Amino acid sequence: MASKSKVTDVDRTIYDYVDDEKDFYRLKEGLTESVVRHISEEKKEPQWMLEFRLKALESYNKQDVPDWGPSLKGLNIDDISSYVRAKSDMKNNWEEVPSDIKNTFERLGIPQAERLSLAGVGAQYDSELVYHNVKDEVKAQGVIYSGMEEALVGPYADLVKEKFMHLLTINEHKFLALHGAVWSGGSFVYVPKGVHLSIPLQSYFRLNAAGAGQYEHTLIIVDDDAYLQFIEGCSAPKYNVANLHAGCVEIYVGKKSTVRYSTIENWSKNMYNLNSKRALVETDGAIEWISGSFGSHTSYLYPMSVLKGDRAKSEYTGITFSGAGQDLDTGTKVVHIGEDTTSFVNAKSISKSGGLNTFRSSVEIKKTAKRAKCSVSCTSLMLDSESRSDTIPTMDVRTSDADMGHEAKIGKISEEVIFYLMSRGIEEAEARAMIVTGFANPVAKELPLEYAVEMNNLLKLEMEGAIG
Amino acid sequence: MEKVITLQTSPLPVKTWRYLKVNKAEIAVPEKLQCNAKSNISLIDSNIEKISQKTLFEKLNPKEIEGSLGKDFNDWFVSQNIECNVLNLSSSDDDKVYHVVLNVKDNDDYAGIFVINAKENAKGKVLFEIVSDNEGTSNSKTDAAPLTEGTQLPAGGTVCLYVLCNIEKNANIELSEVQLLNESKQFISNTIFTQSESSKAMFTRCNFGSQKSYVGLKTTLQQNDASFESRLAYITHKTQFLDINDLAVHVGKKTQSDFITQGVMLGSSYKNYKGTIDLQKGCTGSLGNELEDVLLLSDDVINKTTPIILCSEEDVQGNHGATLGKINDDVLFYMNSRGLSSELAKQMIAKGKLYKILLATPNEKLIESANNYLNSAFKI
Amino acid sequence: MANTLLSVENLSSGLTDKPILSNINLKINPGETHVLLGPNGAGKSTLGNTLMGHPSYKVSDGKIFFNDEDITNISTDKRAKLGMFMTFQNPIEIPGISVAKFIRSAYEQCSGKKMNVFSFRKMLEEKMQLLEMNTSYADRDLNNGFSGGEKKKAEILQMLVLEPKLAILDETDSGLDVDAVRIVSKGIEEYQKKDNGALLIITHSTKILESLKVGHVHVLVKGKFVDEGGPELIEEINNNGFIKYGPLSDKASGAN
Repeated sequence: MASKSKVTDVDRTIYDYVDDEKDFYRLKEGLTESVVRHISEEKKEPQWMLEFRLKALESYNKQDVPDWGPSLKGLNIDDISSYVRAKSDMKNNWEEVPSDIKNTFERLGIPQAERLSLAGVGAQYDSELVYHNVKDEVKAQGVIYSGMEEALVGPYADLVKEKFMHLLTINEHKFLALHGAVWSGGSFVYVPKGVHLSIPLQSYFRLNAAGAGQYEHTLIIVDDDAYLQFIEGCSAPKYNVANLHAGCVEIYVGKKSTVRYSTIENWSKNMYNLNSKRALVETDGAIEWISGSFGSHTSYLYPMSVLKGDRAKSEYTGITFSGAGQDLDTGTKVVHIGEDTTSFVNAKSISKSGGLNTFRSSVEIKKTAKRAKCSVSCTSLMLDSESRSDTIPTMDVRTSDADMGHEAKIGKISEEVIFYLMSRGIEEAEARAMIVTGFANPVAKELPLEYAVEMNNLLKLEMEGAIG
Repeated sequence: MEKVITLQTSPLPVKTWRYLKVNKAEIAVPEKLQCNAKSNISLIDSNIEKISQKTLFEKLNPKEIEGSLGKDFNDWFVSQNIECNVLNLSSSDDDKVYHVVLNVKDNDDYAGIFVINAKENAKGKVLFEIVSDNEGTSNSKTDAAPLTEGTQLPAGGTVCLYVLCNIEKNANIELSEVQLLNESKQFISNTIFTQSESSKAMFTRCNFGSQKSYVGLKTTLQQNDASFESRLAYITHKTQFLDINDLAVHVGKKTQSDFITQGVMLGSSYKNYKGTIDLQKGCTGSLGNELEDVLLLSDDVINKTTPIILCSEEDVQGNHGATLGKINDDVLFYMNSRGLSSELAKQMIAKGKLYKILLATPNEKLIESANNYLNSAFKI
Repeated sequence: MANTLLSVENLSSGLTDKPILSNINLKINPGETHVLLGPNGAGKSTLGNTLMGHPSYKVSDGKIFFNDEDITNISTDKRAKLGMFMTFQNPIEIPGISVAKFIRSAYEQCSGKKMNVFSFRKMLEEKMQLLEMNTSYADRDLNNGFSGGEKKKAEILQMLVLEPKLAILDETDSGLDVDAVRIVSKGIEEYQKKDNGALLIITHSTKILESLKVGHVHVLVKGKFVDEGGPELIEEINNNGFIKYGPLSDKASGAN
């Protein structure tokens, strides 16, 4: 493996809180039952959730850290507990926010108020207002869009209890078990039969909510004949006090419904992003995953589609950009169960300045998945020889009439194309940036315009770092 | 009653999710192989020199023979009574074919190493014919063998063949391996190439027989302009088990590797194909290609494929593709319209694909026996 | 008294979402040569494909009988074994299987007889020579890299070896130069002479018919038979086209 560039790490003293903060926990002993109980109590949760959390804790203690992916050595598992808190107010000191984060805000044109919130400085931010407006607008169509904690006791409490962590379960891996024990915040969305929601819902609106970002749980249930677009994250670097993001997203797609789930992720470069996402698709339903990964120090990200119903469909379009000090392991998983199901994967990755990038995928076509169709395409661009790009796809097919094709390519920017652009008066650095933007286009065009613009800006920024 | 042990073998060069069960293969072997002292081999040429195991391991370091089968398996292998042979090829061997026949009798085991030293500018072909008495597809004593990890020891014996090729500057070697063992046997093949500047190697494998096969290949394109081609044809039927682990390591500049694998699966067989192209830092201008196509002719098979590209160098090209051979409806209809039933049509097409690779074998008689083997496999 | 070889009764068929043929009635006796004429998009190839049992075409009404056996729902290869044959407009390439191997397998299936390799090869080469085909083609992969003319000849070659009772020739002369048309006609004549073979020649141009003995002519427009007659109908269509039968196609074409 190529040696990683030194991570310019943030001074850990930033994580220290003002001493008179009485509501948060700083536990040296690691994650214990009493911490978990306290979380549940503070949230005033129903009994079943407390029991669930305790079971998850048990599972967490039994499981090992995964040994097949990027190193998780920098993640101090025991310290995680110190950052679990019942109250949300994460008050950082603006002066101590790293300057490159501040510069990015500047370059991306993020409004001042947002900057404070994004940096965890916790100022009053009007996204709360925006959130409430959206919530009322969609309520008129019968759509429920609320916080996860509220949903446990709201009118859909029974539905939530039935579905909560049934799609992604605590025994699958250690970080799902951790999530199950300490989850906090997140969104619950329910779209009733026949409703086509024209505006996308965004998790960004709820950034300031309790425990925002770290362990949020998103549960989306879309009934039959409906449409939902959900956008997670934002392009601005989200600066977080604790360096682990172990979120969980569960999506149920009803018959003939479509859900489009877009993520632009740009966590600050000290973060470990171990997010688990899964969609269960019923007959004639479709799930579309759009994913742009730019941030984090280390990530494990594999949105998974379970094509349960006949003619269920899954599409994944993603781009992952690994720069200096990053080790991003991303990809997707698809399981074909019903008949005549289809899946498309179009993944792109870029590595530069010593970044490590791995595309990892798994396609399983079960015996019952007659006439399944699957097409996987992965293209990787190497921008220098300090970096690394690996492709590790696996296919497991158990029916003879499946139609499956997989192709992967890796290489560098074509000298011919650079020469051509330069012969038209474009400077080399600009030419490279253009090519990379073009490379990322399949993802950009699936995003709502303002996100696409932000993504392209992000790319430009990253590229500038690369040249000279 | 021989003691049977389980070894880990064929590790994936980089691990992936454990639940997929592709990170390694478990293999059951007797602690000590019962090799027949009377040689099972016929070496058609006296140029192949027998040496003692001691002499061989004085020159070689066990790590050099690890190949893609991994350390655990190798440690066991070196503890056996290994038949060791050395073949030196030079430029005067122009287009000569060295034909080695391994005819391993029922219930006999075999462990052998062939070291092929191809000197500078050497040219030559080496053919390994691996067969057993009662070759053909009947006599399976382990009909009900489980399809999973291969942890049951086939009753007919274990055949282990290691081939180490050192290919020096400008040498051009063609190696072929045709395996038609009967279905009570277990076959392990570990082939390792080390290639010097501007050397060329072509490796053709036809793996049709045995109850279980573990096939490993590793080539290190150590120096500039070295190139390697692999052509692998396989068929798995009934309850056969096949694990393949191919690895090309690109070190020198402008090196090339090209893997073409064509398979046909029938019955309730199992196959796990792992193919890795490793483009290491410094191998500028190199190219690695990997293509696997499988034709599935039964709904009870388990077909796994993990084609990997590892890349630490900017100025290279790596491509891999995996497809499920679909016989498209138009082709089927055309063949139907000429009286060929769909089943027969699929068999003809499947055989046609394998036959293309089989044709590169430098021995007509062997091509014919392999062809007959294929015919009987398809009748089942 | 010859009994009917092919009898098509009130046949309607088309693609899953698209009806193409309606109420087709046709009788062909052994040894007869029928010609099916019609403009592009009339549904001519659909008829050929339906008769051979192409899986994409569904019969929505009516029946097909071959030698008094109801073949409406039987599989394509069984129809071939009963003695039906169709040349393809775009013959399929099959890499990995040689011309000789393919035709021999088909022969064994259709005739139920096994012939030894040498006798078969001899027979094959005789027929290839008749069609002025270089015998080296026997060892080439079927249709792989063949020119249009060579592909059509390979189709006729198969017909001559398999000796079907009814051969459906689907646009066999399309895309051929004068020489190729001559050779293909020669092959068809040979078939007519030798085996009392019946022919259904589907075409929209009449070049190939010039040297053949034609018995019955049918005209298909927009999926229906609009006219029937003897060989004189060919000349009439040559002179006047299909205009007299009204508008020739609906907006949606590609029925062929």
